[in-house]
Amino acid sequence: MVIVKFFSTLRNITEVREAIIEQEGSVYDILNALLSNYGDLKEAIFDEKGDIYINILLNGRNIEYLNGPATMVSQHDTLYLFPPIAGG
Amino acid sequence: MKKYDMKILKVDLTACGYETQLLDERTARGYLGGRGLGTKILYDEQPAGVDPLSPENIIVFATGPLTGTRTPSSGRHFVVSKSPATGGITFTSSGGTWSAELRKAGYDAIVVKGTAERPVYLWIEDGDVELRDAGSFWGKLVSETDEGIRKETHNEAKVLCIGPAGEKRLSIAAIMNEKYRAAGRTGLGAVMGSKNLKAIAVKGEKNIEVADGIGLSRAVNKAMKKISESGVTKEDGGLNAYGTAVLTNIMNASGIYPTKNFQTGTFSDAENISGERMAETILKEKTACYECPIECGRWVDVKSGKYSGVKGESLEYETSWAFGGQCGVNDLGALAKANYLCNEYGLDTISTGSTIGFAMELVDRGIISKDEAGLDLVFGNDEAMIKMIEMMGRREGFGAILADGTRAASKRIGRGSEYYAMQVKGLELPAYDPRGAFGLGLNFATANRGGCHVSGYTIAAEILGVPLKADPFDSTEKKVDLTILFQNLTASVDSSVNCLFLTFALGADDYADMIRYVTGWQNYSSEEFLATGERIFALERLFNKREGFGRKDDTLPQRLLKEPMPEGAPKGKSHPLEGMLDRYYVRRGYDTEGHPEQETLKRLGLA
Ligand code: SF4
Repeated sequence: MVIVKFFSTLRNITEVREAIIEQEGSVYDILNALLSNYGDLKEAIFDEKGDIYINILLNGRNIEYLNGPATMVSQHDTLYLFPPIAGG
Repeated sequence: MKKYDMKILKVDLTACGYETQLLDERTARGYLGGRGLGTKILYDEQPAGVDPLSPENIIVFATGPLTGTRTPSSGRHFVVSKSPATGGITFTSSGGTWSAELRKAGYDAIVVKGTAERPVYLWIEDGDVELRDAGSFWGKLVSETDEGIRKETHNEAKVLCIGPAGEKRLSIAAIMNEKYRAAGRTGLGAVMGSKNLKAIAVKGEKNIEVADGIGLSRAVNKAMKKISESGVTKEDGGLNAYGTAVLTNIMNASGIYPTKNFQTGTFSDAENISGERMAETILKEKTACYECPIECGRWVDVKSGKYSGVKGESLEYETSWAFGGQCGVNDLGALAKANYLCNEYGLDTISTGSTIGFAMELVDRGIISKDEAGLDLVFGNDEAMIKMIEMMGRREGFGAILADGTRAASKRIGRGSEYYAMQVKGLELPAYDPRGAFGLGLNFATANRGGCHVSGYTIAAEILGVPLKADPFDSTEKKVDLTILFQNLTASVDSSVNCLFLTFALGADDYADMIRYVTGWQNYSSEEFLATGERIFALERLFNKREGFGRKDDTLPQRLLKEPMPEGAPKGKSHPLEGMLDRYYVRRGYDTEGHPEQETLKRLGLA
């Protein structure tokens, strides 16, 4: 079981704060599983070239500094998804 | 082509007189306005060792070339002075429309020195200047002052003022404008209070002319397109939809949301006080500063719970953290109330909340007793927190001990309490734990005004991935260079003057274009724009050197250097400051004490 939490404007699309994915695998696999329930997220997550456009944290660490979309996600991990955002 | 001039109003409160001065082009081009202009004036005109609360301290209220023009988000002003909190040079800024109105009233900056015999306010209308008696407003809250002065002057006047906290010279007193906007940090409300200057009200009809209107239109259109296309700043983007508190959940997920006085970086109740939750519950409408398409402001209206009926503007990320995560409070209504009180007393929300959280930890550890605090000042007690804000604002009871921030409070309390004072150079740290963002920690340590995030907001790259991604745990030269770049660009933008949030969509080229068309300066380039920021940062350093600042002051609270983060992504990390600081000085061309080398001064036109 992997928990996926949505922040900022992604939440407007999903209309829920989090989703539970009953699957393990890479970040990519989890995103695909997620899209089967929340198809509208596709445009927000990927750019025209099919690259991931948003920030994805695995247990708080950006996957950019792990293994990118190939990073393996295990049971009880949490993924956090949010679009480019700033403030201060 | 209209010649660009900066007109400065110089007021001497002791002599009860004023004069005007046109700024020479060399200074205007080298320092722009806002933070840069203020720094230049302070450096040139104020000797070392002046008591910040004495008549000799100069306080500058400055706009910049972009202020009040058609350029986006151009409604900010800067206040520059010597800080009673840090003892060094400081700048603090605020949004709204006061700055644009000041320029329409005929002045681009106001320089104030001296102390009035009795409370006064300054009234500027279409170029006419008058010092008026403010006796009837002394002691009044900010909203009463704002309304009263508008009644006495013009209903549409824009009022900048202090509240009781500034009058009582708290080192955490803010300068408010238009009731809800705050130039909050580093206690400049106290400087106004020490001068018996309650307010500056402005009203004007003058056109803010620019050198090349057609060129400026083109540059503005280009900038607006970028703003509308950026995921950060576009309509219904995160800032517009959720305000700055959109950061709460993200910082918490990243493990850097300072909790209970930086004991950890994860707050279990963060979701309850997040921007997303605010939008679902207490948000009434979005608000904006002058000419700003982003509309990041929030007007909140609490409709249920024990704080029902509380209304107000500007419940920002920083504010919601200072009274939320920092004090362990999870009720948005309580945070709205705390924000309301700070606005009315004229208190910096970050330093106020931070100082209360500090006291809560001291109670928790038995360093002070609840009896001594006079309240059940424990983490999570919203009522005690709110009561303490008023006690601080009035310098009453234990509030008087806390009223000047954590550094002063820890000196008064002793008993090892300074370890828990989460401040740098006397300024309380804001809502990011640098153990999970090493660039920001370096910025906290080196920022000339003390523990400040907006001097070099590397969080954008380290956590938010804007405009590029940088590993938060990288401490190499690459990160040092990034921090320096952010600090320089910020000092330039702060002097231009417009809102720093635009840098999420615009680059130095866009700023250079807009400045060139506004001023008519030939060949004004992005390189010149960035060099200006580097020059201003170094000049601030020179001012602070004169006041005795050195490497010992470029540091972080011991907790962040020694205690490993207990949980979350930064688990086990402390901040690797020393090595980064060495590299930082070298890359900046500063000596081992953090002072600019002669060569550097020459390169920057400062020698
Ligand atoms: S982005 Fe927010 S703070 Fe900046 S000018 Fe716009 S409304 Fe004001």
